[in-house]
Amino acid sequence: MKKMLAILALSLGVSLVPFTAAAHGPSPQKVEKVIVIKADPAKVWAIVKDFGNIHSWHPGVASTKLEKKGDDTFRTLTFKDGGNVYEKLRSVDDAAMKLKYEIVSGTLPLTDYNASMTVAKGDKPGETTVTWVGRFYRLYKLNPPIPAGQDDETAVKAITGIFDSGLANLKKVAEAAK
Amino acid sequence: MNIQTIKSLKINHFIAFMLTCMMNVACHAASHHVNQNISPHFAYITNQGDDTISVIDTTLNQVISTIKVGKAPVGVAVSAKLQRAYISNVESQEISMINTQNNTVVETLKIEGSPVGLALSPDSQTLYVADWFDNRILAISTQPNHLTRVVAVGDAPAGLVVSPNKQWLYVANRDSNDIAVIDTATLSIKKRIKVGTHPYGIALSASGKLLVSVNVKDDTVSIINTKTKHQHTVKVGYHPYCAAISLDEKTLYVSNTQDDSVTVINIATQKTIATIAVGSTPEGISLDHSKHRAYVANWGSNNVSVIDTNTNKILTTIKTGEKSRAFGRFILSR
Repeated sequence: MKKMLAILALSLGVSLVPFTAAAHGPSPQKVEKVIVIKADPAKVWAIVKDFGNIHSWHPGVASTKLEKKGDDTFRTLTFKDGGNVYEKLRSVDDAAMKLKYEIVSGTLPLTDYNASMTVAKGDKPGETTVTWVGRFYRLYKLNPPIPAGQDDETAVKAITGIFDSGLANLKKVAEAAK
Repeated sequence: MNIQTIKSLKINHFIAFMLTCMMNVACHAASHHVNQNISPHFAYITNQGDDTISVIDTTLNQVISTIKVGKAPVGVAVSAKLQRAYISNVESQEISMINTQNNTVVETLKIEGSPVGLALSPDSQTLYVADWFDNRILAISTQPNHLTRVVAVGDAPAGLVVSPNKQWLYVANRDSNDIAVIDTATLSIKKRIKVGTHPYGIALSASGKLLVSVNVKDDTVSIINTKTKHQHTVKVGYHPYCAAISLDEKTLYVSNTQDDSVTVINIATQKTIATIAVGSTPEGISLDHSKHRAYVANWGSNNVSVIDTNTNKILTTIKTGEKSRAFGRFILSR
């Protein structure tokens, strides 16, 4: 964990988090985004649940590498801006159309991240809603003052950007697909 | 003794047992009624996201007041004796003190450090504050001078609870994977109890006999007999956070943040009795013993799930503020 932090800090070009810190921040952050897609829920769910193919609909992801380790499934996303993230699949629930995953390591300015994507029938026929929710903590693990780039706002902004751009393009891809 | 006699003895025992049960139910129902009339109860729910407290009247199951406090409130401790609710505003590093008779903030105390967990001594003389980053506990007098003593504990202290005889303060140290047992008279660590990985929430039974730590990282609770020191580990849901114990000390309720559920455990058999679906990302949990209910603060869905502990079913869901946490014992009788 400490090693990962050091790598994260270096890759972000910010000062190293002191090695006395171990606990995550005291206040979990949340980003929750919903989009309405004019497509059948089953079709949207087929795209969302395909853990190894997020680059097929997320405009920020250049490539995805899927790995199996025993019963566990992992993916490495390489972002178009050069960063990367290594994620673990937690569950795929076909009945609830809910995918859960978490970040193991990566270059995003946050820690202890877990997320879910839920596909549901929309209000109107032929419509689907997709809800993407992330819970995570800021990078900085000591008392205030909190350095810029390691605060809650930075972490929330990073995830908001990923969710907004991803959902907008998921809508395009799903609505264009036959 | 022939078989017939044994059988009839058993039947007699059974009848006596049934009669006792019926009497218990009757007594229970009576006291339940009295409690509800004489002493209303209120849940003080901290809402991290909008810096407020939602006050729920548990008779109405409605929010009767919303109180503005400091930044990112998390911990809560309540005193019927003082008619106070204490709130830790971790991001603005202070304690808000609320007069629970008119639900207004009467004082805000600046804290050096990052206050998270709170607990009051049973006599309400001392407020204990867990300082998340500085690995220490502050013991603050509830008298106007707020005289403060300090003790260093393990890494990332979180949940706090004080024994009914006020002699012991138990501290869950998230990153040391233990519970520190602190002598409250000398404010010194008497011993450390090794528990599961990343203990966060903590609960103590009414008599002080059973101590429970909720171990976030390995999805378990450690149930410790404080007299014999015997310990059992019981598997619960994914990333559990907090726990509460029934008044009769037979049942344990555990919130599972990432399964959106509450696990109900029979403490004697260590078996799961029920898994109840609640709101999203449930954190704090407290019991209103007089009404046989559990109140669960849902961080993800910004509400409180009310569980009927007789049936283990959801009674209702109450809308609160943004990111409800309610870390601590948050039910107050007035």
